[in-house]
Amino acid sequence: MTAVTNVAVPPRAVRTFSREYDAARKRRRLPKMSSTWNVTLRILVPVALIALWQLSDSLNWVSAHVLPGPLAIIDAYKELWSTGDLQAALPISLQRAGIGLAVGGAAGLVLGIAAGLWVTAERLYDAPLQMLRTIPFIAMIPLFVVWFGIGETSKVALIIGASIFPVYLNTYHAIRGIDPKLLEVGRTFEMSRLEVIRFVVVPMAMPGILVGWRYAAGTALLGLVAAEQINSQAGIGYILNTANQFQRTDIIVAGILIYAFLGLVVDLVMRGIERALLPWRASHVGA
Amino acid sequence: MSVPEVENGAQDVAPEHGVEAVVRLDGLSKNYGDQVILDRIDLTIHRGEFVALLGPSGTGKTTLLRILSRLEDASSGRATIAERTSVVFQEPRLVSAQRVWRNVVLTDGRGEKRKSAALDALKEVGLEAKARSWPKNLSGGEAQRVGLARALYRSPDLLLLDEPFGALDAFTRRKAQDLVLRLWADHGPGVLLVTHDVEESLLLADRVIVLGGGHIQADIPVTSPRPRDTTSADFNAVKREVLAQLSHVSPHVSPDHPAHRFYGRTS
Repeated sequence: MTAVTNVAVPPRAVRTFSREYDAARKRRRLPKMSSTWNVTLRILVPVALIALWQLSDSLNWVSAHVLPGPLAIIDAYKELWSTGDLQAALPISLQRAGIGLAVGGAAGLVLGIAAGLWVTAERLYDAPLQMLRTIPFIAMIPLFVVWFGIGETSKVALIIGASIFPVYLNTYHAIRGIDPKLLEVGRTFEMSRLEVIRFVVVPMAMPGILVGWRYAAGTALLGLVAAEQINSQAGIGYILNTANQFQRTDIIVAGILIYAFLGLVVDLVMRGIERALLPWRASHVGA
Repeated sequence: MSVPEVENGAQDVAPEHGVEAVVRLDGLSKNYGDQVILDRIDLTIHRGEFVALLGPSGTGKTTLLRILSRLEDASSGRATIAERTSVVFQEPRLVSAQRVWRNVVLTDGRGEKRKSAALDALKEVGLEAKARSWPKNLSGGEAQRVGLARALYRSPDLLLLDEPFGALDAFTRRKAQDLVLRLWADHGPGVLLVTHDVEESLLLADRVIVLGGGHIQADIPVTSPRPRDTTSADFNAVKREVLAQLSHVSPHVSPDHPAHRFYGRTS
């Protein structure tokens, strides 16, 4: 072999690997899935579970009293629809959750922005809020009943209480987390405080703020379920309570599934809002 | 401790050589407690003058720049600084939640309506096509050019450049240097460029100031016409002079000099 360097290199066997590349050949690592196949893969497990559930009902593995099958649940929905109970309950429950989330979230947002921007505000109420946050809000139900009675007020108040903290915490941290170097730009270029808030702080904190709202929407729903256990005269909780008295497991499961469905819808809506408000963050698909 | 006396506004500065001063520092000092960072700095920069500030880490370059860009107050002395001052930082410091063109007019309260002005500024740095991009989709060189466009948008009398090309590769760096020279020639602001790169300072500046131990150790004029040839005898003569000055700079005045504090920083 000819010398390639004038430096003394100690002898050593070099192990190599080689590959042939051929662009015409199909790539193996990441098979491009057809959308049909993609969808099939995604729904495979849920469909199998539902089929198993129905099978266990049809073959009497589980008593219908303990867990009725999917078809029985569909019948329960038909019954709720024909009596008009479902149509009456949904708007009431949605209204409770909506008002509670809107009021609680707005309060959390205002408090969070103020605490994020002004040290005085933070010193004033951050510590007490952090203390209150540690109380599981469901533990407040008996107290709320004493304070606000067993009517609508205590239910909405509970949901408000459940929604404040997620928005407050995430807003506050999102604002505090903004790179101080960006805020320095505002100072050197003599932007007013309002301009800095509008063009730098709010846009940069928006992802965190939206995370807060998404959490809050989830806890608002949790608050709704808990609140509707209090002497409900209307709403999904009322359907559940009544079904409980009459031992109608099918209607109970139907009611629970409505809550689950609401959770799903809320999450989808929040994701849609995030996509619309954060185009600069367009998350990329992995791999 | 004496009360810092820092004034903004160039209106009270008498023209010298027929050109207004955009920076005038008289005995400017900065200390943190007993530690002296800047020690009675006297410095004048005029409109249209390109000054480079050289010096090893810990000699107060960054502190001086931060005082000039109003991010810090001096401890004593007097500073008169042009009101319209723009800074291009080491990192692009773009707002990632705003499109490129909005970043350019960010510093203008009427941001919404200034799109055409933003496009003009972007055209000057050759990035008109990227106006609607998001900052995260820019390369390092492009992001710094947006930073330049943002600085130019204010038509500054004083342009402060804090090692703006430090993170760029050699080729992109040369192109960015040419761009800065062209923009400087077109707009004529006073420029203060902080850099670690002796060759860069000699390629661009009219004067090279060597900062050492908190004071101005040398103020070396570079008179050869631009564009400059880094291989010419002239160029290398001045380069040797600057390097000699730099080698005299003691990295710190005393063992407890604040330089030690700043080693972790980007001074």
